[in-house]
Amino acid sequence: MTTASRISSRIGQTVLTLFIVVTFNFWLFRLLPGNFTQLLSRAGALDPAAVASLKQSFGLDKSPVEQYVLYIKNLVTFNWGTSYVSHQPVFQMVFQALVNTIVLITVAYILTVIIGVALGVFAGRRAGRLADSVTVTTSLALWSVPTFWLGLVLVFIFSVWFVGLPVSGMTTYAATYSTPFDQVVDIGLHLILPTITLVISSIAQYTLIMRNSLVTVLDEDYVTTARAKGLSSRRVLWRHAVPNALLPTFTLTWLNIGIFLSTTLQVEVVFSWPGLGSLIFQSVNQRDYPVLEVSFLTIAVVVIAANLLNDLLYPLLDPRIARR
Amino acid sequence: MSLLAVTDLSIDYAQLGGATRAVTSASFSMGTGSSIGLVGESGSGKTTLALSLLGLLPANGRVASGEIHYADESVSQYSETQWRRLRWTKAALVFQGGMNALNPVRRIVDQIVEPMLVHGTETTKQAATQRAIELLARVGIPASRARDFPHEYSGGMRQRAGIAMALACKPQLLIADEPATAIDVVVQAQIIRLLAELRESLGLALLIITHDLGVVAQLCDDVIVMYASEIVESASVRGIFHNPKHPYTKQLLESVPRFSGMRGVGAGISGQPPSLTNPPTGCRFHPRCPSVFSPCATEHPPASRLADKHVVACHLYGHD
Repeated sequence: MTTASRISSRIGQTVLTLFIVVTFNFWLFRLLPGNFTQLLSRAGALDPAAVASLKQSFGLDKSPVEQYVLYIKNLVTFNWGTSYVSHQPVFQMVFQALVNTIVLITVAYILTVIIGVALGVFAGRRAGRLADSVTVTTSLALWSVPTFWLGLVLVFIFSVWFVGLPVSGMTTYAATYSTPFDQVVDIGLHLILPTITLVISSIAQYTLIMRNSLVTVLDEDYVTTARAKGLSSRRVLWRHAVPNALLPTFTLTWLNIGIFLSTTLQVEVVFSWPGLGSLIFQSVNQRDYPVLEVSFLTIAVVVIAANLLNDLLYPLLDPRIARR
Repeated sequence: MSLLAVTDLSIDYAQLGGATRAVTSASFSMGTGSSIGLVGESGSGKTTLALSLLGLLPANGRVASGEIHYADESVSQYSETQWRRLRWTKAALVFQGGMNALNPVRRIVDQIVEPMLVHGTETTKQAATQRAIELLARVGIPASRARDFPHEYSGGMRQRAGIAMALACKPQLLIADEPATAIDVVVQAQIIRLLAELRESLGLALLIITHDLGVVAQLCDDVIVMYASEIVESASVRGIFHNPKHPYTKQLLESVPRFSGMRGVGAGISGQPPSLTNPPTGCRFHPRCPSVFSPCATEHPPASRLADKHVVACHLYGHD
């Protein structure tokens, strides 16, 4: 199969997956218990005429199938509706939240992968020794810590004992900045604690996969060949062992974006980071279906895109896949 | 002066509950352009012996006693840096079938160029690449395939590329661990012919580690037979094949299937190779030996020289 046809068939699969996700996404919310008009009525007695007009204005009076067709039509025409609660366009709300989430997740994920892989190499080349056991045990222990709990502990520590680092939000409340640089610094400070939480609770997977993969690779004949060629141990490690050991970690990195994203969403709620996580949390509480639908769809698109990227980028690392 | 001399070499692997001796008092020497086959069952210590010649024992392995000399230089006190300089320049390794001996994510030519640049055999990348392509041509791989990755090669090509790589730094000794295993017989024959031809034209010495007596018969002048970490017999190829002395060697030869007559599968050797953690007393082969007699179970047989090159460690010989 040529590269072009491989890529186009892979993109075809992606589009199909997206369609299934969209369909599932639509029905999921129709099957969930609770409904929006009931939630509103709880605030006060709403007369049936008002309920009917509310339903009509949001298209809820139509049959589910009609709603589905309308939903697909609106989706492809980028008419993503308005929030039941804030009456703002959903697109705008989700987009802003997504940007904020991307800021957090990019910083945290890059650090997680780099530190995780570095620790994995550190432990893997010392397999069986004390440093290896300590690294593996510690990372497993940290992995077992619930993320939201770790976040809450950090919030507590930094708001009671070491006041100074911001524990909530993305920027200082009502701050005015003299330069854009000040704003970046402010966001950076707000990033520190959520990032630490994410890195600590997610690092173990990368450390363990990289460690085990490296241990296996170090046993391969081609590593013995590299040593037999008289190469320095550093060169054997970085030129021969690590590039091969990275392959499973690379795949994990892309496939895990979904899981890392869901962890990020939790952390956002704990640290009041104004991203998708906070938006979803708030929208679930308010049964704000249009926002939830688009948020979930956005997450699905991110995960599917990550998988696609993995498949498209993997051949660059592993020539065995490239020309198949 | 010999190219390589191994004297009374013993190698231990550290394990829970004590050391396992993988090679016991091995001695042999190789001259320039000579060719020795090291034969024995799996686990008899032949690969360990080969790895020790390049200082490549695994972390839990160590030379317990004895000496290895290259020319007249002893390597027993070698630092890692000294070993690194020796590797590939004095002796190079060719691995089994070349299957995993090549790094799957790097191009063949780069893998051949690498040791040349590290050891200064060639000083520029261009010159090294040029030489790598010549070496590949020499083993029958066209220049157009030089930039391929290992998975694009057939098993036989990989093995030949492994041999080309071994020649990169002009070593005088090639240590080949099962060079013709795991490839089909036609390709096997090509590899054997290639090794024989290289030995002839470059004056290479070959140390062939194998359990395939056919390979030995075609490539080697002398044979060393190992059993349970010990050398039990060494002789010329002619001596081993026409006049084997040790009962183990005899049975090994009888185990080889033959095409003549209706013999079916060879007789094989009854029993299991012994554990090295807890080897049998006396002669290590005595529990499986058809000619076992009184001293075998208690006394370790001394090596006796029967002819110029023919040495055997067995109680049946040398008690006169």
